[in-house]
Amino acid sequence: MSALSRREFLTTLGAAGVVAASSGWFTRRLFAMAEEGTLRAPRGPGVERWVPTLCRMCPAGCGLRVRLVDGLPVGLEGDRTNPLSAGGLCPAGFAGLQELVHPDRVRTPLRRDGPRGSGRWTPVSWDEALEQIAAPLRASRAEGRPQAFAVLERGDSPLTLYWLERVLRAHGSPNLVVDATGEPWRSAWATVAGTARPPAPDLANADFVLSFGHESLETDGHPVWQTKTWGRLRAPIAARQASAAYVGPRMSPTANHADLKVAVRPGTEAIMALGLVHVLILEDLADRSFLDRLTRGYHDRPGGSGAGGDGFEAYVRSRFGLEEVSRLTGAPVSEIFRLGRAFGTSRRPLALAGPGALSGEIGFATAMAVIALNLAVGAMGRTGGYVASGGAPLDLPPPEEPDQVARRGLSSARVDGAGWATLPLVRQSPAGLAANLAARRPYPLEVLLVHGVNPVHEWPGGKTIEEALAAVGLVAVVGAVADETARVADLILPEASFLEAWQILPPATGIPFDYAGLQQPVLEPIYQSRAFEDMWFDLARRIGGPAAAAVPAGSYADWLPSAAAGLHRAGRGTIAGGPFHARVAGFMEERGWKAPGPQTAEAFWEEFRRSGSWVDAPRGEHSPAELLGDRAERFDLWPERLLADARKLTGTPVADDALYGGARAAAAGAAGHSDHPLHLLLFDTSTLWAGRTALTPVLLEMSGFREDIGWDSWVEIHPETARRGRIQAGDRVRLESPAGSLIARARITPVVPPDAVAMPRGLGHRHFGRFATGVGVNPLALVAPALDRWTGNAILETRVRLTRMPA
Amino acid sequence: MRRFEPDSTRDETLFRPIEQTGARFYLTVSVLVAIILFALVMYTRQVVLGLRVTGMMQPVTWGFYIVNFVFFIGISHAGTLISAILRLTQAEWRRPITRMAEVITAIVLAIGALHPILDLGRPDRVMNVFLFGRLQSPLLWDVTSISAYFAASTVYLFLPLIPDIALIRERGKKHRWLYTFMSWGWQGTPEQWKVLTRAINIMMIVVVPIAVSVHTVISYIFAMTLQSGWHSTIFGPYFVVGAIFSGIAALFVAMIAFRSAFRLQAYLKLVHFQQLAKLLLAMSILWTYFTFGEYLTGYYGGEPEEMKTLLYKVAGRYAPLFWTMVVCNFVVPVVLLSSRRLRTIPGILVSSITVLIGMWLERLIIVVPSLENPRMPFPGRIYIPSLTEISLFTGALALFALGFVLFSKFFPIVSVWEVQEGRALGKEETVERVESYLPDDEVSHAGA
Amino acid sequence: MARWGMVIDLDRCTGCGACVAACKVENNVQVVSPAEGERGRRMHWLRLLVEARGEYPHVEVRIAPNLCMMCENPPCTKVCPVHATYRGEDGLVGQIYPRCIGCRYCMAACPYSVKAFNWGSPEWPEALLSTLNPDVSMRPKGVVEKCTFCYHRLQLGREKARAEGRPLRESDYQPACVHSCPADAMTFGDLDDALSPAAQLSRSTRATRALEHLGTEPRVFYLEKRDAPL
Repeated sequence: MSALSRREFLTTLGAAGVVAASSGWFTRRLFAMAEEGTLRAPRGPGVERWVPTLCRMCPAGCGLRVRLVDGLPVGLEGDRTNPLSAGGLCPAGFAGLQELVHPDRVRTPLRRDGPRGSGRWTPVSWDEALEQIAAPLRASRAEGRPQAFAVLERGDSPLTLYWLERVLRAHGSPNLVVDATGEPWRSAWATVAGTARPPAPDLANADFVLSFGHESLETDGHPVWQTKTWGRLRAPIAARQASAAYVGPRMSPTANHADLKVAVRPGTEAIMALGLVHVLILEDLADRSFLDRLTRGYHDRPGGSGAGGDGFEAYVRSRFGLEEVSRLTGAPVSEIFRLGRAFGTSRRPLALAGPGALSGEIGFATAMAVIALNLAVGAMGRTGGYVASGGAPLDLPPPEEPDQVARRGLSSARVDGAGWATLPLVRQSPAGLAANLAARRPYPLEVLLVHGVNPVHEWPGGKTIEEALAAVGLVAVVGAVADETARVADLILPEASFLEAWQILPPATGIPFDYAGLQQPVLEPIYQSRAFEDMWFDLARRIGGPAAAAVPAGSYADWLPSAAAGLHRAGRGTIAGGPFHARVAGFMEERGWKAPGPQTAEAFWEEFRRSGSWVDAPRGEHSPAELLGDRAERFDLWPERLLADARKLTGTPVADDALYGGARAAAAGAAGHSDHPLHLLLFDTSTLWAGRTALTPVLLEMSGFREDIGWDSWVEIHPETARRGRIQAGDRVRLESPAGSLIARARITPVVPPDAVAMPRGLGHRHFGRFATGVGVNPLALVAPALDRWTGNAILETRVRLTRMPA
Repeated sequence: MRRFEPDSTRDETLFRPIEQTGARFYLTVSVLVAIILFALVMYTRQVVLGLRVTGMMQPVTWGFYIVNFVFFIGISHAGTLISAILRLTQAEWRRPITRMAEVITAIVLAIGALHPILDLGRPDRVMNVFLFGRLQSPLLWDVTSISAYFAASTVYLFLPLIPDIALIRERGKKHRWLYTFMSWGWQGTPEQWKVLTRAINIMMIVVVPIAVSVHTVISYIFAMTLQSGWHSTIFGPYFVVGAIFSGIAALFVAMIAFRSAFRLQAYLKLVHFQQLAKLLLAMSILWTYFTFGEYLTGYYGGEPEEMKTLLYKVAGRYAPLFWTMVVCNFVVPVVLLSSRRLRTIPGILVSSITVLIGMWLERLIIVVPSLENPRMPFPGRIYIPSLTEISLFTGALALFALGFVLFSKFFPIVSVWEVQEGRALGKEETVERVESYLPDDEVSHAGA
Repeated sequence: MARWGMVIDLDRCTGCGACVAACKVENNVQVVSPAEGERGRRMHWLRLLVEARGEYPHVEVRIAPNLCMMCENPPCTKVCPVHATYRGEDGLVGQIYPRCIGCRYCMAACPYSVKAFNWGSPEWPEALLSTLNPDVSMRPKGVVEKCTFCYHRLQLGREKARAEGRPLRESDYQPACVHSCPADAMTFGDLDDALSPAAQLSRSTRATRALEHLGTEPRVFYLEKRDAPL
């Protein structure tokens, strides 16, 4: 039986081999799993707590609920009770936790250790850092130059702006430069209505929304609120239905959802708007009663100097004939008619203009034209049209009189040139700041404090800005991760994440009702970071003098409840998510009842913290008067005052036709660029948001999630253009403009016209943490820094040449 | 059947490769081992890093490994199937071929069965297939079927090997202990011969349905899904035909290689090749018939999702490979094997190699284009095999060759006793058999 | 037992991607390296499938979220050799990660291409590990994963209902994607409950299902875009 025993031996050997090979130790080593999240959390009973707060990844401030397990944030979702976002979020919101624990967050204040831009830093204490900023400010004030202090601020928090302005005013500097993108619209509106506060579109009640490049469903305005409203208006079982139309060169996702799309050449939206006014006039669809009663300049021009004295109506008829409009915009006359009729025959039409249409050379004229279109259908001050923008009745300390030193400082010119010779009509001009810095115009700056803006990356001519900053005595950047601007600064001050700080956010412009959102920290700051407002209070105290007196004692968080007390005192509205729905409360209030709520300011604050938002339901009745400024009785169709001011400030005559004539000239001169035949269209995506959110892996991977592109930028090219250039999808292409060049990958798509290419902003960071650095390309490298004198904004228009790179 | 005694002193040529080892053997083995080692290194790397070292991605989640799995299992058919069928039909010219055929099956079946394990994301969990196996899954049918076939073909290889092992043992020149052990106590007694013959007869009948089931079941892996280009009722027989086709081609390559290496011209004569070549030709035409039917029905039906995949194969990105396959599998064999003039050993070698290439392409064309054309509007992706996958393919081929070479080092590559049996009994038995076919004499022999 | 299903209104879906990000963050789905992403190995349990039709400027882009359809007749469960993907009593098709052998047969069988495979080990930057959701297990390399309709939320909802001594309500359980949608395009609920919005919408004349002719009986319905009211 020896054969059998050998067989047995072999079998056993085989079995042992199999067992050994699949033994646990061996395979566990090979197939290890990432450590589970719970291993990182403090070992506790797993108690869950939800904290309502606000997402601050973009200016909208959607309601957020953060989930904490044993005190550690492990998840988040939209807050259903928030009156604006109602539980919705955009992709950026979900990256909040990753931003909180980003490995490259600055942990302590850093002082540069070596020449600017060398990237060498030493940690210093907050005391040292703030002292380094305060010392030159005290000195310059003592020398009678308090205005040598400028703050460049993102501007998405009105309370922050309030405190910035208050301290600067007390100190004596006029130089609060806000990087607001709404500038053309704001200044156009100010011209028309005589008030600095633009109106808000009552989208929920509109039945026809015409968008001129307004990416309502993507990144403009308050996208989540707009999308929610859109969703309600298109619900299968909705009480009300609405249509949407889109005018623009690129068929964006918002355009894709429009029922009517009219393509126009880039930069010709103003002409289309005036063309639509013409259609309304021809078809007798204009709201004559409104135009007669409430506008100035429709039938004739009051005090018009020079040619004609034609009213707006006559002007449009004679200078913007439909054939001409069609020729300049590239849209067939039949489509212009169709759109005009659809717009005019709707009961509650409304026209929006987005930054995409307003950031070109004739942005101001475009804004004026779209406002004129709204006026033509009487969409001002009525339900479903433009109504007064909401605010929040917060309690703010009363303004104080500046002392003599401060008054002298405040009367000097602003460093961004706003309101002065080159920019007479403008209040803020970040681009003007960029232009003036290098030349130390109108005077050299001692200190520039930068918060929430990354000019070296986000503005055209980043390199020149880098060089211009050299002219500033001290540059301090406040931020969470050291970006390109921080790299050439002298000090970096670590800012707390929005999950670690307090804020009350009134509605962003464009919300038609009163609202206040509460941002509250879900945990203590995990590093030595601090909320910006706390830094600012401390700095003011160190500067001393009136600046110190302008801030309250204690921290920002200590002060905030007193601001909220104003909401309680207002005696109207409800804390969202409470027993009464906001609409019900509004209904009751209109009839003289008051919905029961917290009795004291303290109780109110507690309720406010539990809920996260306060809202006062939109009123039923609107009137145009609510949109006009105190001194205005009518809406100005002709910017007479504007032109008069311009002439006064510049001392040069400005042609009567300067505004709209410029639009026509720009469109006509658009052809004939043989060297750079293609327009470059820039757009934003809801994952990259022009660069600020491009910080975390989850969003970087989703850079082009609809295009199957990750961790990269791309160039959208029309199939015909691609065919001519022998370009295939995925090829690398070179774009060259007069200002610069870049290489990116091609994407062939029919959403762009044959005479343009499009690129998303946001990537191409040279310094922005380990994940984002070196990813993608920055299309602003192609845009030369150029200033729009009507708005003070950078002109983001350029033309390019496209060539395929060899493989 | 009249007994005969195999003679260990004759047919020296057949024993020489076992008893003498030249430098060529060592060189061949070294080269093959080197290729296999490289493959092993690449595989280890794959286990450590994960399947991302391959060229697969969503939606092409199966690539080279599955293609080669089907290819190798396909080749395994010819072996046992040819050997069994030729034995069943008592074709005398089978005698020098059967051993090689059976060896191909055994080796390539093991290699083929290894491939799904190479393809697994978690090869350490392969036991789950037995612990939690669901018989509803075609992969389980596969496991069952291939296991059965492997068992059957190993037995079917070993049984006719026993008398040859006894012969080597008798010659006593090498490793006597090994051959004594492996001969299982064979003494060549009439009793033993009877048992052996009966066992071989049972196996040759049993092995045929098992072999057919194997490749049918492999085809069901694809046919039982809803992928366009896969969900076809013809797949079962189509795959079996293709398997036999590629198997015969592989057999030819082996025959020609060993014939020249071991100088077996006396045993593997032109006539053997020509007989088998007729079978190859028949399979080529049969394969073409199935292929034609498959694509014609798809084209005629015109169902959009099916058409997308079909046009992709025939006129799209895969067109060059598709038409190469047609040339390799149909044009070349038909041209070279139809006429007696071209049906020479070089011609047969060329046909076999092209058939092997063509059949490999056929597996590729079945697996990958369907996956590259998912039904949903997925962004398009192209599958390009990576170095790991290519190295495992070459490693598998090298392993196949190595198995063959090692087998031929220890056992005769031509069945000695069957050839001798043919010499002794063949003519008589054939005459008897042919006489039994002839019509009876007209003078009535009703009673006699 | 509730028949959980989802209705996605393509007229309202703007393709913003909030659902994609929400799902990824909720379920600890790994972010792969850029190079791996280029090779088609990005892992999304929910992705947006985009089809552009027409010529400029009359371009229609159809954007549809694509996730596990939770078929009532799933092709994937039929072919799994080890019962690692199976249809549970809630009618939800589940995935048993510790048992999956990574053969990817279910991926080849799924006509909707919704399954994702861990081609390599998930590499989480150390600092980001604390942001993982403790309710969802981590997957090692070599196994298949897919949308689970946020099954962990169903379990949490059940616990909550049990703790409060009441039966499970539809509002207790909502997948992360549905919650995040700013356009309210996604509705989720019990398709057998006549009062549930999801059930009503699934019976709308606009309701279709993907690849319906295959007989997989998916539980995700799409409401096709409406004709322009103009």
